[in-house]
Amino acid sequence: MKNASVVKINKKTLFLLIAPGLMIYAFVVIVPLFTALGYSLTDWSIGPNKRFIGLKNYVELLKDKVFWTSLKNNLIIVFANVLIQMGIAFFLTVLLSSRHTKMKGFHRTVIFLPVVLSAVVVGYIWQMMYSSDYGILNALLRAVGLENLIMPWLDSPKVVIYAVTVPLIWQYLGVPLIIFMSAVQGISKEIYEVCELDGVSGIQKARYITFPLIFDSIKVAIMLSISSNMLVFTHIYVLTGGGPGTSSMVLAQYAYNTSFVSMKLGYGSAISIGIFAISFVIVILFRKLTEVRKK
Amino acid sequence: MKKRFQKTALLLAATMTVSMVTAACGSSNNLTEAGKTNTTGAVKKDAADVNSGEKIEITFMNLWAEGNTENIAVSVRAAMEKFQQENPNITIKEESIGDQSAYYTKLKTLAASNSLPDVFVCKGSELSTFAKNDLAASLDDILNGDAEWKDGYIPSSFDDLSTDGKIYGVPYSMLSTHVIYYNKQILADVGYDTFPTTWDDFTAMLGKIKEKGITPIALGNKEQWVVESCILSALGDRFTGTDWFKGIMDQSGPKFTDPEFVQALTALQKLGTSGVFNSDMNSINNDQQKTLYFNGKAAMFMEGSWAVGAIMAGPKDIAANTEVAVLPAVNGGRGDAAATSGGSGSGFAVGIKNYDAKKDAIAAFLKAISGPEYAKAISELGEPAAYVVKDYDQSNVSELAVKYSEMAAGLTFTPIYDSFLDPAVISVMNSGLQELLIGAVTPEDLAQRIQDEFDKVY
Amino acid sequence: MRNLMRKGGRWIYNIFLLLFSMACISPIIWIMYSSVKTKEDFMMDIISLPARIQFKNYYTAFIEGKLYMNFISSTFNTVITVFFVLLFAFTIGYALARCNFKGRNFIYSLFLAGMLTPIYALIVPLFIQLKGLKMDNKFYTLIIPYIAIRLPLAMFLFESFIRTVPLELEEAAYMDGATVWYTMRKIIAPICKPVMSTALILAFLDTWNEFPFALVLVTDDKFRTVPVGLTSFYGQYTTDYTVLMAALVLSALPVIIIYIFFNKKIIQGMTAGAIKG
Repeated sequence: MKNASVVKINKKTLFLLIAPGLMIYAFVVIVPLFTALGYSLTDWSIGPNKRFIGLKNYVELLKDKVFWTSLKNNLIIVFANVLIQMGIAFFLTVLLSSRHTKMKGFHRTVIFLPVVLSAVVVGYIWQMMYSSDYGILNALLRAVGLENLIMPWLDSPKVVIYAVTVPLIWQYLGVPLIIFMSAVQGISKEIYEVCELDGVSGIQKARYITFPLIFDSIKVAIMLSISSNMLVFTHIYVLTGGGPGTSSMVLAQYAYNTSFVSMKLGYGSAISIGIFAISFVIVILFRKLTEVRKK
Repeated sequence: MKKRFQKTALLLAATMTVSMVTAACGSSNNLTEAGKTNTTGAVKKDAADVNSGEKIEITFMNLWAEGNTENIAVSVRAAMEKFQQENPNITIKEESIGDQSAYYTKLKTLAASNSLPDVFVCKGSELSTFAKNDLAASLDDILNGDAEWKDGYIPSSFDDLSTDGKIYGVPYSMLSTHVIYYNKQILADVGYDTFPTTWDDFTAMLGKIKEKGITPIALGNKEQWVVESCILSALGDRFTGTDWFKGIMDQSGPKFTDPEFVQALTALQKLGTSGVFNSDMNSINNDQQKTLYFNGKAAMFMEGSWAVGAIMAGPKDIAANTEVAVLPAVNGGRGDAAATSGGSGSGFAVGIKNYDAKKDAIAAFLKAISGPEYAKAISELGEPAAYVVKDYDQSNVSELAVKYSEMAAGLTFTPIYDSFLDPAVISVMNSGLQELLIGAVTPEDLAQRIQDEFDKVY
Repeated sequence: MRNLMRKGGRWIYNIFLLLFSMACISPIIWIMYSSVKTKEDFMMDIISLPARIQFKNYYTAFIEGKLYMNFISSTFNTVITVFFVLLFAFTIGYALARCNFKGRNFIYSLFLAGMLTPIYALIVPLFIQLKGLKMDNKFYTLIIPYIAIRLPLAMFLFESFIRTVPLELEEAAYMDGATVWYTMRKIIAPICKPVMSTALILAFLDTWNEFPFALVLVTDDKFRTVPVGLTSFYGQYTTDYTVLMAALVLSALPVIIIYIFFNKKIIQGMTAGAIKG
């Protein structure tokens, strides 16, 4: 493992370092999480009566088709983001660190701008882009003669989940980008200079130097991507509301619908705990995989 | 090392215990508080009077954003102002959340923690769930205590807001959720000077409009309630008749899988799959469906009576050419053709926590914002009131509003599905209807799905 | 030959970047010029450039729409939250990065758990807790959950960054008898500038745009934040899109400003004379 506990910090200091933040965190996140766990073991609707029913909600969850469809959709979104979004972000990082790139400051600023937009705006913009009559996407396809590729992007159950993933990749590209860029700042210029003298190409530099040296930051960025995409809600809600039917339904919206639309708070809590459990497993798996890789 | 861990764990446990205890205390405090106010309320009841000088604050939550210029919002606020002036000891603390889904999210969170506001706007089906869970107060005693006030309402206006024979809400307008707004010019161009009165004629006309390259019916069902509220509630009744729905709610026999309802679903599916709607019907919302109509790209759209205002605010030439109608009769249907889905839809409900203590003040407030004076004000703006208004100044009412009210006068109002059915059932129905329209589920399967959810809930 | 190919490659990369940036910025440009259109112009053609420019929408949004009140509330909440988030993330991140004590992995997992829980699952329990302590609908109400939910990510950023900092400096300092506080403040913190800027930008952004807690936990107008305030621009039946656009531009400005300012620091951070690599 990395730097082992070299710094001898006494108990009191350690306590002071960790406790304040941890207490607030426990109050806001950990306690409510356990409360939600408690709710999930009841048949709570919305009134004062909560009847304990044990694991019945979870048994039902295993049979719940909408839950598994939503999970599938979330996994598609997560994979697409991790592979495509991280990939593009890394590529852009390399480009933006290179001497030969012009207007770096401009690009860095502009590519991050979509991140500040609200999900509602992004939904509206992309809805327009996908519009069958006056959408830019179809207009472009027609212009290059690829009309046969035109389809009802947000109306076709088969395509909709992919159509909905694109805005997510587009909007949040700036986040891994700044994470990577700040990590790259930590790589000494000398390493690159030595390589250039040896005639190493750009691609090789990226693959053998940059990538390994910022791997820890890449891991954080991927963990962030997994967590935020397993919990994605507002974007999908605004673009399709989970439709048509439930073909673009995602877990967080399903939990929300169950608790706040159908007012089945017990079952809704079970769904939330289910989301938590599955996401946790995915992240642990990911960490195990990347640890092995390093060794 | 061990001690460090123990200390952290201890701290964590302490925080958690404190939090849980306060949460538990919080909820039990609610119960004891309610108990206390009950006794003081009961003691003071005879002596207390709205103008007794005792300062009362009523919390009022609604979904009309502060600067909202819509008729109902403006009139309610005016009535509220006047009420506070006439009753200086009563203050209304208003919270307005303009976005409907955000509004209901907050409302339901409050409900789940038994902290509903004193007065709040609520839809029929949500109110029913609150009522069944003892979160909303039954208004029977304050209504029966002022017969003149209660009898002034259109009797059926309480239907949407009643559960198990008790009234839980006071209506503030009557609306229909299904009105066909059509462009009479486009219809005339394909040979129809009046709206078809039979289903076959109707579908034939739609076909002719389609041939001309115009979308027959603009539909924006992204939020999923549009098809169910604005089309199916009426179409269903054409096939099944109103007794069927009453039977569903009473659980006295009828089921969603009955052939008549399946026929309604089939007819709806046929419309969807035959290209009568725009191809992006499930990805645009009800605002955007009107845009299609305003651009002349669609011959008609179906929405509620609230769309009258939107049309009058749209392009003048389209507004001038707009007429209103409802779905025609269907072959062998049990329902009345001179009917449409409608009712009060939403109303003002009362949270149970402070009801006993503030009963009289709340009653007076409710009367002010939904009673005779208020109703007169909205009638003069062209909004259909739930309170019977005899004379009012018709000069400001728009032509289209007049056309609508003339048509509505001759129609029976049948139940709006999402005013009565449990939200969980509605949720299954709504999302299934999106699939039905594109042929992704059969009418029989959808009917079964809805019935299954119904059986789970009721 | 290789040089030529390289030069060509560079051109392609630059053009690709340019196209990409255009794709990112065009929607924002669209919102900006839509916000200066009149409502009628916008309804007629959504995409075209405005025929006449008028800034009335901004006045309507900010003053009449009371957005300025929301701004004050949001700014207060966000600044205080970000301060504490950075503080706690730094201290906890340092402790977890440098010390292998018995509960370390457990605490790490606790923070991970927070990032994997849907927010709406926490709303009802948290509301009940705050209401029980009579801490709801106060000026400080939102700060508590905001610090908590932004802490995990910021902490992970610090933790993973600090682990890559070599120990020599700290060892030297400790051998000279420096306290942990001194070391953290004078030695580690300056090195952490890039990650601090990144964490700051992300925390600021997420807190400024937060919606569910702000919707539910406060009631009074004066405590309402910008995202919730934006809902008042949606009418029940019709939306005045041009005023909404103006409101959206206004609400995005603070984050953009923070980003532009701190983004430079990410780059500058490292030239300030620290030893890395």
